[in-house]
Amino acid sequence: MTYKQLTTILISTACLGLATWKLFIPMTAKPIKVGILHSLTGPMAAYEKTAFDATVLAIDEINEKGGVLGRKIKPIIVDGKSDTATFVQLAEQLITQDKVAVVFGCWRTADRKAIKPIFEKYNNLLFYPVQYEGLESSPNIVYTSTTPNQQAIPATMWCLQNLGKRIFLAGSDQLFSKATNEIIKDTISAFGGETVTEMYITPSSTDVAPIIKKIIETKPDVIINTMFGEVNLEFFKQLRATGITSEKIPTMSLTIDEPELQKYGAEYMAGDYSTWSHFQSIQRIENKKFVAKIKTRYGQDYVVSDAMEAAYFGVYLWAQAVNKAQTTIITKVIPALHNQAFNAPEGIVHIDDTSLDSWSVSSIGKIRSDKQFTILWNSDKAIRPVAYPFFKSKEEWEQLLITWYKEWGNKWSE
Amino acid sequence: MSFLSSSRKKNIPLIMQIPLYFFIATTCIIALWYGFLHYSLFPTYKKKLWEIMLKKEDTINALLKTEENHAKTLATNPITQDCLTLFNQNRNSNDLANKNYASFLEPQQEIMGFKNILLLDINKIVLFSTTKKIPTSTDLNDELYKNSELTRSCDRSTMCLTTDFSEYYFDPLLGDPALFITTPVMKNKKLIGTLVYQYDQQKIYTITNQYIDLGKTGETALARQDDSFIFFVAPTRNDPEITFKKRELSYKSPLSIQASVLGGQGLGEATDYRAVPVIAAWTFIPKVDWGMVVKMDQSEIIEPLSTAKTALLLALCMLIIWIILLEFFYNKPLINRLITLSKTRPFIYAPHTFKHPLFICMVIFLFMTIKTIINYQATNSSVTNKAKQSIVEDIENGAQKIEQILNKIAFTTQSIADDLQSHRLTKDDIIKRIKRDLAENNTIISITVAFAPYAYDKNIRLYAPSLTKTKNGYAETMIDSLYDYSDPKESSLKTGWYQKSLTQSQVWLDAYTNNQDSFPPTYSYTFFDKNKQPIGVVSTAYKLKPIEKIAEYCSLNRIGYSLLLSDNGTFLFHPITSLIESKKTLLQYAQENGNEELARIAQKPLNKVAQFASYKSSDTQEHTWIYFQPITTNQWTLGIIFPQKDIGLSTDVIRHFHFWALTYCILFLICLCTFLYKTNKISLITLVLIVNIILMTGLISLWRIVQTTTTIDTKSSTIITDQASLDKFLDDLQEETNRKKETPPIKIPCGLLLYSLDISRSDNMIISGYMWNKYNIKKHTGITHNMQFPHATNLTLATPLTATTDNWETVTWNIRGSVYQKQNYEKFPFDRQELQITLEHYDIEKNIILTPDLESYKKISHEDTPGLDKSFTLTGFTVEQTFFSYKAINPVTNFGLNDYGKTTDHYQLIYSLITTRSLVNPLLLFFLPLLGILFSIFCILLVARRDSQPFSVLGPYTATFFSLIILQRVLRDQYPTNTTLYIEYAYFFTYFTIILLTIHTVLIYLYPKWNYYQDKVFPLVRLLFWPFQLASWLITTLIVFY
Repeated sequence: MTYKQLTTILISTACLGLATWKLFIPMTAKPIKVGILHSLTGPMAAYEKTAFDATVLAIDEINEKGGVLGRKIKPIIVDGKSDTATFVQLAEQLITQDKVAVVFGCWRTADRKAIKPIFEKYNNLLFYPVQYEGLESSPNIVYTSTTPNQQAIPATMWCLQNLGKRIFLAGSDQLFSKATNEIIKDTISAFGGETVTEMYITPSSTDVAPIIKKIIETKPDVIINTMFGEVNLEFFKQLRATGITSEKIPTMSLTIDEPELQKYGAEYMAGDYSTWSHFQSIQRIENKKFVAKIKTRYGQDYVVSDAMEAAYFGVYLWAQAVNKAQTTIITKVIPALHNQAFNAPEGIVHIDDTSLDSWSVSSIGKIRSDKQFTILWNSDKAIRPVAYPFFKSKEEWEQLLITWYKEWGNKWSE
Repeated sequence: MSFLSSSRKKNIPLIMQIPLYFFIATTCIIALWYGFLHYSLFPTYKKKLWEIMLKKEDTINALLKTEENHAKTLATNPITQDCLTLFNQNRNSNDLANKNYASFLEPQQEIMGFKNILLLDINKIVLFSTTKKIPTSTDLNDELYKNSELTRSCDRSTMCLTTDFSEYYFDPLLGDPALFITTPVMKNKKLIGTLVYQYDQQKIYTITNQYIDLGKTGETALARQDDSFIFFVAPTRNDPEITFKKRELSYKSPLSIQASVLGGQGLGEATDYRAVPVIAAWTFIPKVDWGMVVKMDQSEIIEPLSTAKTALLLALCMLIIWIILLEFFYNKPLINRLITLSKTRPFIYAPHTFKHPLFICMVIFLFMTIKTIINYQATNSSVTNKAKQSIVEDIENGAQKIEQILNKIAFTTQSIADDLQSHRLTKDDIIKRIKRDLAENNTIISITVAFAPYAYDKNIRLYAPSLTKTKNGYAETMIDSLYDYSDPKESSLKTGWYQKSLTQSQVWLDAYTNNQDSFPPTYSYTFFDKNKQPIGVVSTAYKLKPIEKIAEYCSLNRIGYSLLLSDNGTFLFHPITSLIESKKTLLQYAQENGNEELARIAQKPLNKVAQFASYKSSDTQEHTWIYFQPITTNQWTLGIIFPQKDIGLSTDVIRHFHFWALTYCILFLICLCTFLYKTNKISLITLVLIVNIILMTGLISLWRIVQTTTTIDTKSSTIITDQASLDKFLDDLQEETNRKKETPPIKIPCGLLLYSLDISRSDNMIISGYMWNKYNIKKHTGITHNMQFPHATNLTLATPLTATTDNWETVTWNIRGSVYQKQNYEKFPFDRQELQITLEHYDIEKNIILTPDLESYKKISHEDTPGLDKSFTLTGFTVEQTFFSYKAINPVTNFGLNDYGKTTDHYQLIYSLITTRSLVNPLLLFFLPLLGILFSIFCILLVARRDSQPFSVLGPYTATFFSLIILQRVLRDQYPTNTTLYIEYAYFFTYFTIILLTIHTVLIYLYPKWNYYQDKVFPLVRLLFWPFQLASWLITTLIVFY
């Protein structure tokens, strides 16, 4: 063999080795499949798309940083079509057929209640990014947004301290409103306030006239509003039409966020109040960066909501837990999730050590005419989540849930 | 190897072969061991630290959970609920209930191990307490306690009806750091109060202070974030006093502790709070919001690696020595082999040999030169961009903080206006409301509600109550009785807050001071009636100081300064106070200084867009960056100005890059020339000449790089760059004294002006000049008006001159004498010296800290050399910078004074001069003679022939040898040091050259017929004389100054 031949063989082997290494390594590191289950069509799409966008952003960011356990995250995106039955079918499909490591998604209480047994049956994990009424816990659902004591209770307390003792409760005839108002009533009673009355509107209706009439009759100090969707615009419009301004009878909403204001305008709502863990106007560096990222990616007109933030940090919390557990196996990821913290836009949040609820910051904001909020109160640090407020025992709360379930004809009102 | 060939092997006895195989085997084993350690040491320790960290995290979380459960158990216990009901009912006569509850808690304390229990009513008034430090009836809403961590925790717990962990900080009630868990107490579904459970932090310290498996340097650090700082919350092994000491929190490239307090969990190589490289595992303890870092020093971890490295080198050396010995004793003598080789193949002079390796080397070195230059550019650009980004973030943060203050002011003002507009606030309650708002907002000085004519009452024309904060409380004034604020003829300075607000609906007015009046900055907001007609204005005057402080702190720890501009560009904050006092705008300042670039930029803040710009400073002639960040609330602009060169790579990194680039470039050029010679393009003489020129140019370039990139390490001191850095140091000092419960430090301003300084002696400097102290006539009573210099060897302070202005007495001394000054000559003549004058007040037993009297200097920038007279000269040196700094010291004695050893005694004020040596003297005195000696040796070498008498050659060599000894002796006398001076290496090489040439002369004389040596080696010695010298100097310079 000549020197030349030897050199050729050596160089060829080295090149081949390098090419194999380059090609082979990514092939062996299979991506981790995660499910994203949101309504991308139908009436809920307008809401759920925001959480979907934030989830995708977080996944892309993690992938840009090298992924999890050296593997990229591959989102399997499915459309719940604003239909509970589809949610059930797709949840099962993601877990059994796509074999996803985790699912991020869901919005409505009825959908969550329907897919909860599936996640428990197959021992998979769902990250739920929307504020919820509590009175539920699951070893397979991570609730990244607020529990009643992080939203409804401080909002009620703040109203009692700053706006007045006589409170009117207006809500949609859905589980979130019913359960939240039950907790609000207990809070009002515990602090010497008065629940003037509580009224509900059927989810598909926009006829708020009876509620407005009752408000005029009872003249409460403050209204706590848990109505959901387009009915809010009608409610505030008619309220102003009858001369009830935010100065006369202020409203504290638990469902009005930045995208709602963007959609309906702040003309009728400016001067009223909302309560969330996250507001776009929070003056934190992390929040500014988050808002900037969202706007860069989805356009300057895009606004950021609490659910988006919860969806965003949920992905990071899961990724951190997987890194800690060094595996995607659910039985190891769930223990690693407890006490897992993340410097989220709202502040440092973390998953509770006993449940899968998150410790979140609580804030109250005043609606501004520019469709943003001026923050009036903030808890400074994350608040311990309490899914079953201690006005009633867990059994009493569950009994109440059964009663409502029966009232709605053995289903959860959508 | 030839000696291992079969024919040779037979000649080597077995006894000599065994050690050889032993050395080979040992070297291989150690090499494997070294390789194993190199690749496994860090991962092993990382894994180990990660496991320890997880274990500690679990233990602390479990402890917190247990303590929380204890608190909940007590809060839900019917006895607690009943007692709290009882305390609520009988607030004055509850001794029995107190005793009963105390006896209930006694056994619980045994089990739970809490420190204290408090029971509060729903209004946060203490109803029961196990400590006398917090007596019953204490109101947590009281001014002293309302911002305490306990009160905040109670608020959260009550608002959200859940247990809450307080932040760990000094509790004003207990007077000690304390940790609390607050939990609401409910009875019959009603909130009846709050239980406060104080748990023992020692339990956590016990966990963190376990050092099992953490070696000699391993430790656990616990810290929490507070705004833009990090507070350590537990003592560490390396610093038991670190608790509550703070460090600045950096969001950029966070260190382990910083990453942990920001909620992160991770593992890796980091730099710790001592600036020591460590391997660390970090996590966040969520309930208490602490960051925890378990770490070990990298130096300890790599200790076995260093041992292995030494062992490997030793084994290699032994192996090589053994091989050489074998070669000499059992192989043909080397000289014979060389002769044989020269006969068959004239390897050194022969053309066309080694052409290909030379070409490959040339290409490699060229590639490396280009790569290093590109890397340098890329790294420099990346570091500059990161630094710029970091500056932008700091300014954005500052702007945000200012916005927050302004928004709070605006919100308070607008709330009063809104409530007046909606009649939620009645006219009778205005004063009550203003008082409440003034109490809640520290930044606000006064609030005025001014009604439009006849808007308050049809019979009263004007009505404008105003409440101002005073030292003793509040002062109420009726503005309408002072002047007619609605009269357009009145001075707009007086009435602008009302009249401009009426026209613009809201207005921010800047502070204004003239000879007669002084107006604070105000925000005014108009309120309207049903018909949208203005009926009055709410005006709030606020303090500018907190905003100035934020602006000032934006440039903290940076070279450069920050500024705050009003909406029309007037300076609201600038380090030069005269610019603020004269109400100058940035544009006017630029125009006055004839800086057109800055004048053009000065228009930019008015555009209200965040932006970067650069200009050439008319003061320093340096390229300077300026960044503006608009404050949207009131159209102010926060800016920062900093020199471009100071945000790039550190001088050390720049030097390293330059060294490598130059080395590769020199090697490339030498290879290229040799290649040209080998390809017969140039002659041997030309080759040597060019190589000499290359080496000479390289050496001069290296010296230039050394001169421009050598700095003095001042990390151990706190350098006072401006008023902001002084304020920060004093704030930290104040905090430390508060923590140690010492009396507040007495701050005495002190200044220095030097007329002359002489450092002709190595351990002493003679100074002359003036120094002064300023004493506050009212505050600084009982303090001796005198100074001392702890390092003075013979110093006299002349009779002081005393002058009094306002409340200050300035005492000035003329000083002259000598002060001890240690100097480091190791890098002579390219050395820099930091000359230090330590200043101390005479009354060492008192809690006094000297502060640099920055106000007395026209310019305080280091480059402006404050403290030196214009005529000041320092022979042989150039003074680059002067500054004041505080050096932390650890007193070894209390001087027999019981009071000595307070916080202030741990810091010394030092006035420093950074000097660079002028090269003329060292070159003339020590370098030129050396060159002369070398030249003489070279001449001798040139004229020496094989038939020369040996003594005619050896004689001059000996003479030069002795000249060199004398020269070195003079150098040592003048610059005594325990180590080798840089220039001495050149002397050593010359000694070595003389010795070699002497041997060479002897060889020529002893072996006149040794043709190879005479024909080939002799000319080579002449040819390589200068390249050898220059290359030696070059390599030495690279090593010494790297």
